[in-house]
Amino acid sequence: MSGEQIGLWAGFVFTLMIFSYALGDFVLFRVAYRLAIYIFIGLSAGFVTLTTVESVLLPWLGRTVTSPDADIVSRAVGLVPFILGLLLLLKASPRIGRLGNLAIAFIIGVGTAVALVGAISGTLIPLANATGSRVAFDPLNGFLIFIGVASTLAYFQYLARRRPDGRITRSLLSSVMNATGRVFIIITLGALYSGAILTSLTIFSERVAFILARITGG
Amino acid sequence: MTDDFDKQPPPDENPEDDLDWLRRTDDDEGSSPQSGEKLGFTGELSWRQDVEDAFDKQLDEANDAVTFDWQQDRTQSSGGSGQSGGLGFTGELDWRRVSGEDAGDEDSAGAEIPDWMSEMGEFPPAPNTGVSSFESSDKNDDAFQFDMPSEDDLLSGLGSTEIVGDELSGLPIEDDAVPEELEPDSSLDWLQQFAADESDTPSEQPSEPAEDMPDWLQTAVGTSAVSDETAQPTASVWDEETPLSDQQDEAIPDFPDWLTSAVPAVTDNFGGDLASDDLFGDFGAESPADSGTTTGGLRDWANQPSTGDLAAAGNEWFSESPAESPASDSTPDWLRELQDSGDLNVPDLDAPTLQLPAQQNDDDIFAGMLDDSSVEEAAPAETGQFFNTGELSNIDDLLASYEDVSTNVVDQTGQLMSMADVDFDSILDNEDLDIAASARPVDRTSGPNLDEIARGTEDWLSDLGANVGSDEQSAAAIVRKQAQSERPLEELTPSLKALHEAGLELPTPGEDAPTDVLKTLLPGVEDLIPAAALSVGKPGLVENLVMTDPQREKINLLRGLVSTGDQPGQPSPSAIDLTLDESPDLEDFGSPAASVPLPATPAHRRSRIKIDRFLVAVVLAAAVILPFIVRGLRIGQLPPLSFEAGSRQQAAFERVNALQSGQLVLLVTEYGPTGAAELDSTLDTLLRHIFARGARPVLISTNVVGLMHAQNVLTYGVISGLDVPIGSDGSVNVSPGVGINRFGQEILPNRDFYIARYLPGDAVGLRAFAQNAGDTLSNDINGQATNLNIASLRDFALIVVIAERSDDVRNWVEQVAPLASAPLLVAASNAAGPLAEPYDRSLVNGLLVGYKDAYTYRAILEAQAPVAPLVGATDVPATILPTITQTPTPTETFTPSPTFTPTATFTPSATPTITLTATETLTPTITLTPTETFTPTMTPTNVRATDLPPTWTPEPGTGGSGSLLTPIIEGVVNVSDSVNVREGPGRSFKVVGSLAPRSTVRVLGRNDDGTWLQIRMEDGSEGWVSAQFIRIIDPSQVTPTTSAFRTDPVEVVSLLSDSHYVQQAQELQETPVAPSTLVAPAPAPLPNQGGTVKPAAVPYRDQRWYGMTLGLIAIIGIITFGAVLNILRALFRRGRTK
Repeated sequence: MSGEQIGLWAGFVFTLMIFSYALGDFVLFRVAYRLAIYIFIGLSAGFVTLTTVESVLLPWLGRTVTSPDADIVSRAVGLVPFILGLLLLLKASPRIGRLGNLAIAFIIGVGTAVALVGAISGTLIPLANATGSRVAFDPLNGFLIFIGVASTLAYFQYLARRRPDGRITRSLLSSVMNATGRVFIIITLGALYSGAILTSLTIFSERVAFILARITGG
Repeated sequence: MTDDFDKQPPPDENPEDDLDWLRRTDDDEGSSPQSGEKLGFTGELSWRQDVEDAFDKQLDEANDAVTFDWQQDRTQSSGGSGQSGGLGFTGELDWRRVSGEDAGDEDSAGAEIPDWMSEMGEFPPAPNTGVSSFESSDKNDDAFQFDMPSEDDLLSGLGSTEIVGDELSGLPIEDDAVPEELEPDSSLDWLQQFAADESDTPSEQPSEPAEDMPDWLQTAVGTSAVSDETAQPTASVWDEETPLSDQQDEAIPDFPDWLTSAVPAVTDNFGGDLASDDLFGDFGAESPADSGTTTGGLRDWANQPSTGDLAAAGNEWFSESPAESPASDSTPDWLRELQDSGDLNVPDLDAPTLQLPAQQNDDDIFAGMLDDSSVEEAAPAETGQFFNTGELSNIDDLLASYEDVSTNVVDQTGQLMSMADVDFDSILDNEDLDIAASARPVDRTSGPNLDEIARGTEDWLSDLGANVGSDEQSAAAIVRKQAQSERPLEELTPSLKALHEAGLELPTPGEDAPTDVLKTLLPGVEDLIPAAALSVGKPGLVENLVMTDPQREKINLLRGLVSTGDQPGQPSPSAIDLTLDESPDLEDFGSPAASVPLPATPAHRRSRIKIDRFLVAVVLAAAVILPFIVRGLRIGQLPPLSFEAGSRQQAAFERVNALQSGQLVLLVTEYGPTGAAELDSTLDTLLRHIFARGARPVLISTNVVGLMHAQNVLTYGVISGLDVPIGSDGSVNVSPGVGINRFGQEILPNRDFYIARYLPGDAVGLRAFAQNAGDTLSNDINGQATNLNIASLRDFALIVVIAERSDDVRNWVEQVAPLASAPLLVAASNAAGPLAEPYDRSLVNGLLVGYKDAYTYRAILEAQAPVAPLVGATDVPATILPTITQTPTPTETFTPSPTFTPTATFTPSATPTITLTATETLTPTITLTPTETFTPTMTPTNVRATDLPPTWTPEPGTGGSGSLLTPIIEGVVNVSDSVNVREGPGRSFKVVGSLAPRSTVRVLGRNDDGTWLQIRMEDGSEGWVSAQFIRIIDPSQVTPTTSAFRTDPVEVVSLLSDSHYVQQAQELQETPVAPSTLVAPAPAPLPNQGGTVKPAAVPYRDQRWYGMTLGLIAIIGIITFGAVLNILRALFRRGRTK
């Protein structure tokens, strides 16, 4: 049996082990399921670690710190990520863990800035333009899209007026928009849920096909 | 209560006194982090800050001022809602919270705790009160539990704090004690009258009860010796004053006899243990710090709740004793009266042990009392454990010597509220209680009414000894007190029985919130006393938070939602169980007060095999698996064989189909093994198409595992699937991972395809990659040089993102697409599809979603172009590309031209040089000669002559001499909808007509990449139609007819799929047909290629779709069944309830 065949049969066995989760808390099934999970997670963690070291860290060092052509500035810059990484490792210690906040602040700050710029330029503005142009191009659909967007945004406003008797009230327009937005959100979440179900079915059917192919030799 | 305690320490003149430990504890509390600080609750912080500020302020003022102004502040604060109450704490919780905080400073604070206080620390912990969820086993906490309430008990024993002031105002009523400018409060006249009436001193006041005196008190005065609750505080005061009387003899020469006579009566009903100890404890703690005498503490204590003038009067009155009477040895008259009457069983009042020095504390006092033999003989051990320890047991002994103390009082707990016993019957029978009871239910929306009720209930509750704070009452305390008296239930009145039963139902801490108790027993109090937001305990634990009803509902809901059943011993019910058990009644939907129901009962342990889950799994698995086996269950239709015209899927196909040989495609594989089952087919198909177009894919990913998986798909799936069987048996052995391109060359990495390193950093990493892609792509995943000279993303002809998560799609669209000029295609899973859909075409030029689009894409690819072995075409000579001109136009390419002039070869009368027989013409060399007739670039060896129609009927051309013979190619519209016919090859051209489904057209030609066909319709009009909608009819099946036009046979070759090619070749070999006039040439093998080529097989491709369809139906059925069952069950339950 070739290595490829062994891999295929191993996949067959592991698939059945994962499917055993559906059978409940039988010890046998629980052990099989968890064993498969542990193996997958362990392999993934090991692979990610090795790949990160080989594909990210070592090449970076080779281009900066250990490069014979690099000047002192390049070497210093090359050390910055490692210093930040070491600071992150300090988070494991309660005493000196605060030093890791610097690295976290850097990561979160840069990440937020990049994500914010991307969200504005890549999503919000284009979608707003598309929504606006859709109104002119296809009035009916454009109107629905506009109402959906506006009411959904209105749903997430939490300002209201508190009356003297303690009741919290909103204006009629706000309430209507709120309810409409909730309907759109429900539809959206329903679509996402159906998409998740379809994905699950697709994966399941593929696994079934794989198992049958193994059994029938197809 | 704690705030009272903190606010009232007297000025510390002697820092070494016994009170210093207490103040130091407060200081430590202020400086050390408290539990509330850790928890981040502002309520406790503000409360503490307020108390500390007030304490500091009062301390400073007390040091500076002769008159204790801070006492006025305290009185004012006690008149309204106390701080604790205002902060949402019950008074009982307040002091206990501080006790818990003090525990953190045990070392510092406990080091200087007096012995008597240390003894208190051995008290058993307070039982469940039903009000506080606090439980503490800390010794110091217990000590505080005793000590703190002692002072408050003292105050509460006087009634409310106002009553304390009222009643004390009656004490210094003598004219010589009250300054003239200090007029007693008129509201206290009743007490003055009462005092005057009971005193031996002649008084101008009428003997009958004063008009302002409460009725219940009048009744009590009239019926019993002295009302318990009224006399109790007074008795407490003077009972503790007794041992000091030798020092106060001169200071209080005119002590009223009424009060002296009241002492025995008070002690009859005195709780004894705690009340006296509290008083003594407070007394002793303050005395050395204040005036140096024991009466100093009493003076301060007495002045604390008094207001303004009365406080000053009382203060002055009390302060006379230490100042004017330096340690007299004579026993005061009033004490002797007590002794004479037999109420005070102290054999020798003049004993030296009672002649306390000025600085002697209460411990010493009690130690002196211990010497009395009669005390030792008193009933000892029925009091609580606390009082049986150390010197404090003397108090019990002393109190036990009083009449009836030992028979009525059983201190079981030593807890907060154990103080003087009360006569519940008499109190609950009075009118005030009836008035308070009639006030229920309370309209919660009317705040003023609640205030009135609070004021109305405050007195009787305070008199009842139900104070749990400085200004608050607790019904639970009443019940506890009743329980402490251990009276038989049969002797209780119905109202007390009800209270007793309610007390038994009081929740234990952690099981329920005190708000329920308040709501049940005292409607309206809940609004006056907001639910405590915090109790003492471990910081940050939800179990220690006292939450309101809505908060607990939300917590329970969240617990139910996130419960996984993995907790040992606490399996969670399944989703169906939750929906069935917790579904509200239908009538609840119409009620504005409808809320999320709480789980009524904890989840019970069920069988280890969850039957419902098992059945659902079985049904679903059967629905998906059976279509693989049972043909009859393959319901539904397969995905269409073509994309809808103008759809984003069609746009995606066209983008890939427009790739040119040698172009680079950035193929992003953002999915791992979890999405492989769904997206592998998409990746496989796209790779085949890219290879078929001669382009070079560059694989990259931000998912490490996903990149490895894509590498496997490429090398072990796609390329291996392109193995070309060759040889006599139709097979060829190719090593796994090695593919052979159309020319038989091995497909190599970093030449035909590239697998780059993985991209770390998520969005940030993508941004960096978009700005400098060259560095990332300089080496592949194995560290080998790719030799790619990528300056920017503009070097890519196309970017294809295959993602299973919407976040990955968004990151690429937001970070990379704006910086790349290449079109961006997205192939997403069904789960991510809805979130990828909204992106405009300007950002996402094509979109493929799920297995369905992959299926259709593959079908189109198989129908229009050979799937194999046309891969790795980077080195394919340009001459072999199935194009004639780069920009063909119908008029230029397919119209008769001089190059297609009739020759002898294609005339109806075959020339002698060409024998159109199957045996003689099936050679490439003679088939399509002369080559220059069609295109100079073509060589005979490159022409796939076998793709030509086997036979055709020469037809004179319409143009020219009419001797032109061309093959007739027909196609069928292969979609269910009509197809537009346009003026040119592209959607930008004008629509000139439409083709009905399944209609037949004649194919005239195609554009350079084969995506558009020029057709002629039945009415003779010509136009262009997208090639994906037309399925070319096998020319061998077409009846030979004359053609009115000519076309390039090479084009025909490219339009036929390989399967057609194979079938056609076989048919030619088996049944060669020799037409009458012209025989098609036999197929000739291509260079370096085998005779048969099969596309890669996709096992169970159709079965998967059928399984998904039936599985989806099963899921819908299960959900519907569950919903119906839920409704029926709810209706049944509702009917059964009614």
